Amino acid sequence: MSAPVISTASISFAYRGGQTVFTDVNLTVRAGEVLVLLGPNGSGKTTLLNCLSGLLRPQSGRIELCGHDLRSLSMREIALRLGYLPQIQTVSFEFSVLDYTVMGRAPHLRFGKSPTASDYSLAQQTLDQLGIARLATAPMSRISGGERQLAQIARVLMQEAPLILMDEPTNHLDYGNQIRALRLIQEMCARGIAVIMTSHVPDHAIWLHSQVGVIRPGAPLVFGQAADTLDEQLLSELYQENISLHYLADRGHCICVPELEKLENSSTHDGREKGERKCNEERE
Amino acid sequence: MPTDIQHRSRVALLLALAVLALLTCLVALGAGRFSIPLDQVFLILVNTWTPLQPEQSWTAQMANVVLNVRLPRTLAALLVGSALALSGAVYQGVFRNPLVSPDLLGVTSGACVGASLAILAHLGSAAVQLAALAGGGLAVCCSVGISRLFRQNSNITLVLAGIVVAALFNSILSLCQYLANTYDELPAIIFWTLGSVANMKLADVAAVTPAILAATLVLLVSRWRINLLSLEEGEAQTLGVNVKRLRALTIVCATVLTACAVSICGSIGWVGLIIPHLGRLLTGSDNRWLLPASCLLGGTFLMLVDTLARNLTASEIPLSIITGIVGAGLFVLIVVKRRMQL
Repeated sequence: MSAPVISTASISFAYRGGQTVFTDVNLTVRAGEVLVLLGPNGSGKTTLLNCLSGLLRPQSGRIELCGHDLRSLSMREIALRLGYLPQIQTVSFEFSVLDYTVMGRAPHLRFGKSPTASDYSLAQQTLDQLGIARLATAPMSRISGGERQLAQIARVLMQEAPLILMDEPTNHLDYGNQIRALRLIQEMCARGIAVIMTSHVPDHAIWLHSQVGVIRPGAPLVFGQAADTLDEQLLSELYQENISLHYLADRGHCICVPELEKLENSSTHDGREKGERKCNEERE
Repeated sequence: MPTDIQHRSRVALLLALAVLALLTCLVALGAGRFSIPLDQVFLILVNTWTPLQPEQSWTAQMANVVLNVRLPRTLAALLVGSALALSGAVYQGVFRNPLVSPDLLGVTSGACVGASLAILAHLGSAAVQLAALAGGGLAVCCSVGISRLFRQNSNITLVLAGIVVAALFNSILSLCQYLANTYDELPAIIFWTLGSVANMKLADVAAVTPAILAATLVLLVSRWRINLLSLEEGEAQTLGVNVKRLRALTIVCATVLTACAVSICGSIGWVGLIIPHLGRLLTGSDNRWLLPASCLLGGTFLMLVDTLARNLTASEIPLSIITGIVGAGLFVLIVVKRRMQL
């Protein structure tokens, strides 16, 4: 087994004067592995990513990034080893996609150095790989959400870091783009990049055959292989809904199926009538 | 590759702007009530600054007007215009707001108060400049100090503190004007708050040149990095940027530029707001091109404004009046142009 790219030893975090977000988190991710963090809204998935990226400092415990104590690394040294794709995307001025992408070279450039022609051609290549080379000169503010997501991924890839953190990379994407984003993550892993991502869809972890970290408020993090860790009881407890896992024999893995009451034809008919009646009353 | 063509066209644009600035400089030196042909202006400059000795075809009076009367004020306009425009472009980038101008942190109001107090005390022009510099510095220190009281390190608190400090110093300025006698002190204060490069001496320009050049150099060297400040703060940090340090460095340099500019020729409005917008229209938002373009455009603009200021009427018009009138029109044009592109 290869050496871990990142590992944590019982880290815990609490906001100043606030409640504890998580305690005693232990996880290890190696080159080419994916870790999907699952948890309900507000359970601290983003906070955990922020700790792993050095933006927040955990109160206790130790994080090792490529064999170095995270606290001993400078911002730049962290950025050479770890790329972070945040959730909120705002660009205030109209940078072109290429100019935005090339910003990912920042950790490789000393103060006062501007990106060189080879940095720009690397950016052009990366955009080409992601299939958005035609957008190179388009302003960031005028491309679609899915394209912006790809541009962000291109920017993070430019860092050439062995680990990439992604906060809900499938957020705001249509179904096709979600699938393409997952495929992209698989491709990154095939190139030996380790990925830690958050998601609201447990199926993502199952599809990617990844490891999962399940964050529940007030309970220790559950960490393990998706196939072994995710069971109906855990998922139902996690999302406070009845969720069943159905095995797809031809694909060799499970899918999550939520329990929704099937509305009888008659009852929808009733409902429709009720609605129409109300509408008519209002008209009169 | 389209990006290659873009690169070359932007280099060409900067060269064109530099040539335009030089030509404007020659025009500004030649134009006036005592008009001197451009070729004569050029030869006078060549004769003075280079070892070449062209055949003398100009009179001593011409040389005197060019070198001793117009050169100091034209150089001042070039220096101050480019300093204000660069400072404005940097402020807009750092505060991620296109409506920000260099007096955001109260540096201009502070400088006006400093200069007014010196005028009220009947001190000499050098003392007025020093007082303006001190006042500007004090105002910015107040802004930073007050924003620290909010205990939240963000741009917004700095903007809020700047507004508070500017309001305070503007009141003090009004008090100075109220207390000033109407024969000589009040006109001097008002003339100063409207900005002028009249009666400029080369020594005045030389006094602020080192600081302006140093700050300009630092900003131009780090101009690509300033791009990174327009990202979300956390996002820039994950790219290995020490956001706090870079932001502090750029704000200090931009503030030094404005303070130096204001200290020699009074407060000049609009240049720091309008020129970066004009630049953005030509080069886009990439500070690698925007900052040098703003410098050149700002210098050119203020040299033109000064030429107008001394030629439109028999007496000098304060610069802020012209920059205000031209600036307002230009701003509307830019907004219309940018909206059409959307």
